[in-house]
Amino acid sequence: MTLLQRLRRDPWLLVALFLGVLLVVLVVVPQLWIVRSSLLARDGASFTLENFLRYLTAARYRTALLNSVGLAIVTTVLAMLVATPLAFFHARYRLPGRDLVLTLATLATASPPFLGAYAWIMLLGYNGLLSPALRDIGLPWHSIVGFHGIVWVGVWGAVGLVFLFAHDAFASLDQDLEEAAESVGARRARAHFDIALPLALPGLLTAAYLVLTGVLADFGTPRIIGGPVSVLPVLLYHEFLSEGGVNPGMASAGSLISVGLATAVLLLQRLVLAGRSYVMSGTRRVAQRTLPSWATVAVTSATALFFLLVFVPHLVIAFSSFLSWRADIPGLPFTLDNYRMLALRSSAPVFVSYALSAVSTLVAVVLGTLLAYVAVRRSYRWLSPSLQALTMIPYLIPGTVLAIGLIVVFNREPMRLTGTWMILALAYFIRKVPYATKSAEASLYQVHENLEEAALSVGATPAQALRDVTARLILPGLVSGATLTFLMTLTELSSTLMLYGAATTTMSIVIYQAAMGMGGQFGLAASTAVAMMVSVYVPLYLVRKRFPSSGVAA
Amino acid sequence: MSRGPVAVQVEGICKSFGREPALADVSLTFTPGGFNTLLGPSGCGKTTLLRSIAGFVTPEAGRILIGGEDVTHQPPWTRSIGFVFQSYALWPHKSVFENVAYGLRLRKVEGLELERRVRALLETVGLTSLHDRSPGALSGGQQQRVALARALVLEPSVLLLDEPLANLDARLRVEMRQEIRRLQQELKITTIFVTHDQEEALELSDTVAVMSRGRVAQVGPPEAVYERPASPEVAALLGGASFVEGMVSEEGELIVDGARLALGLSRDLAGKRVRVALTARRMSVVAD
Repeated sequence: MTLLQRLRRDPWLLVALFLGVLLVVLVVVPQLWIVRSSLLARDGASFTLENFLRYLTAARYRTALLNSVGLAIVTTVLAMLVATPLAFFHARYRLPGRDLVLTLATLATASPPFLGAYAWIMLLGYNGLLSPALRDIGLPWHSIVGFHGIVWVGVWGAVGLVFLFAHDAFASLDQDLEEAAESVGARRARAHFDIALPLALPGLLTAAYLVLTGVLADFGTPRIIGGPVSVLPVLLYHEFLSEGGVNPGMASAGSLISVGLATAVLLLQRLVLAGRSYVMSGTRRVAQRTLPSWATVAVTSATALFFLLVFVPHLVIAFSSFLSWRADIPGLPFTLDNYRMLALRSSAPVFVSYALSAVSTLVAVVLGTLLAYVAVRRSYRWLSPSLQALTMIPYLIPGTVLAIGLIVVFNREPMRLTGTWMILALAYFIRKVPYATKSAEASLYQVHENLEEAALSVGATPAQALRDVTARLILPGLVSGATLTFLMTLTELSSTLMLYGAATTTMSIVIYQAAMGMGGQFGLAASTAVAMMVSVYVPLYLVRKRFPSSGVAA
Repeated sequence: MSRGPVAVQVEGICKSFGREPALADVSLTFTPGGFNTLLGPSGCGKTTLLRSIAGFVTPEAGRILIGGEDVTHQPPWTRSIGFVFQSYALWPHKSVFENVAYGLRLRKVEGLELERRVRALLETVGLTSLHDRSPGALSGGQQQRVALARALVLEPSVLLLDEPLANLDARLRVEMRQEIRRLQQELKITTIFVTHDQEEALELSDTVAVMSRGRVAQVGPPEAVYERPASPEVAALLGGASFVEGMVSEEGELIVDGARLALGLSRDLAGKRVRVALTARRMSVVAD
């Protein structure tokens, strides 16, 4: 069969080839440039490993690397310890407010990642609202800025996600398994520990993996609340962009180290999970038992405290948006000035954020659906697995690194894109295409292939079959996936910060600048943050109501 | 149909999935206007052969001819086929009417003509009153009828049925079996029917092709295949067979461990060791 015949028979081959070329140009080429730049010696002609070695030898680089790894581990362990027991009780025992608890946990997973740092500084920074009071009552409180602050904010930012995963893992266990343990003489607590915990382990490990990689790649929180504590993403930002001492070689080497770390953690997770995915034989979901009333009170109080701490940033920011700000000092009386300013004079960042997120989400969902289709429905021997691998690469690339790659490749003729809205849309699209693809894959698996073949058998071309049958049937899943993609891009900070220009200032940039004490528009930043929270939580709540099973955490 | 029944031929078809050959040099001629059955255990290649004729699967070698025309490299949507899936594959977002009408709409048949043709088919399968239902609200047997109507409304040259009765309960299966046979005889459409159920094959078929491990083991009218299996393999596939080994006597009896069984074997076999397949269907126990 000639290629032309194959293409006529299977137009999807053309789509797959196009997607392959696109991903190579947008994802692989920038990374290859980073590799080249990381290996280039200072003379610009010879190649060397010196840049990588300096991450081990020079204190400035080694410290950032160690801080990143240490922070990721400490934050992950603490978040798991805080959220897992609570999730266990809510999954296995009848406790009040179950729906509310799950809704709050879902909302927590979508919290704009840098709001926590901003709000906790407002509360507990050296000049924070609560710090003087703490010192007045004799506590040796200095400030939340530092390593402990990054951990604190990181933990409360991550526990929502851990809670959801752990709850799901514990709730989906087969009740017979634990009863079997009890029948051979295990006490209830013992059965929990010996049976439930190991069986829930895959879910728990997945949550730990997500937290760990999230912290490793996070730029906003350590930058805002870390003070002098340097971490890898922040270091990369400075190496690449700051006015003094720009060092692209070191930035590139650090970028590759970040990607390498993320890859190592992914492989580790795969390794640990291998052989641990149990197929549950029964379909009998666990029945919820009742706790003694003192325990119910204790767990409910702990849950209330848990969610209070999770949502403190939101409350603080919402509260501060109604205060009168003079420079960086908030005060009474309560006012709507901040909102008036947002609406009348400074609404541009809101529109920029919405437009960028909408465009990139649309492209990510359309291309992600095509990618999912080629992966799920076409089994090209080389092309399908290659596309799947290519799609997942951005998942391993921290936002900062992605931005560096785009700047390196698209800041030259004929594609000088830096500072334009195009490059931001491109960055958002690349970052979110793995999520959009996974979500479309999940929907596609629900639609049996025969439904499409039936259309072909009555004379529909593949394009017509896709339009009239498959697309129609996966639409609800796509809408829910698109909403989540939209929300995630709406709160993007790390690559935005490296790629934005004056005309493309987003909501996240406005809030970031206020959090960093720059620009002096604190009241405006607070009202912008509230606008962002509303933009995130209202659609999320609606999607969760409409499609309760959608993978919010993904 | 105006054109008269159409012949279907496959010549030397090969197809493998990974390392496993699913079809190994299969050649068959299907009788025009006949009810042709592909019979065999799961994994024998019968469904792959059917899907190759439909165009869902492209063979690695060989030719497929529908009405004398080589369609091997034609995509499914240009072939004149009707396909009924084991799962029925009714589109859940379209009503019964729209499921049947979709193929006509693609061919720009609209308005009264569309209405007339869809209704005619729904009437043929006995579903006139359910046209605005959604497929999810129908019973298995009704879904099956919609799937048949959808496959037949375009008046295809070939009707392809992939284990269409497997998902029905025993009583409905017998009813639908007769229904399918009636439709086929009314329309005189060349039909290829895939099943692993020998009773279905026997009752419905004009011709049966027994398949095993990607090859055709025997072809013929169902009675012939049952009466004279070409190999022990076919006899075993047809099920319910016990094998008895022994010597053939001068009188055509089978001598097993000294006992003589009067089986009326050919006297040409006298003095030879043979293996005889005894099928339950043809045996009766009588009082002595």
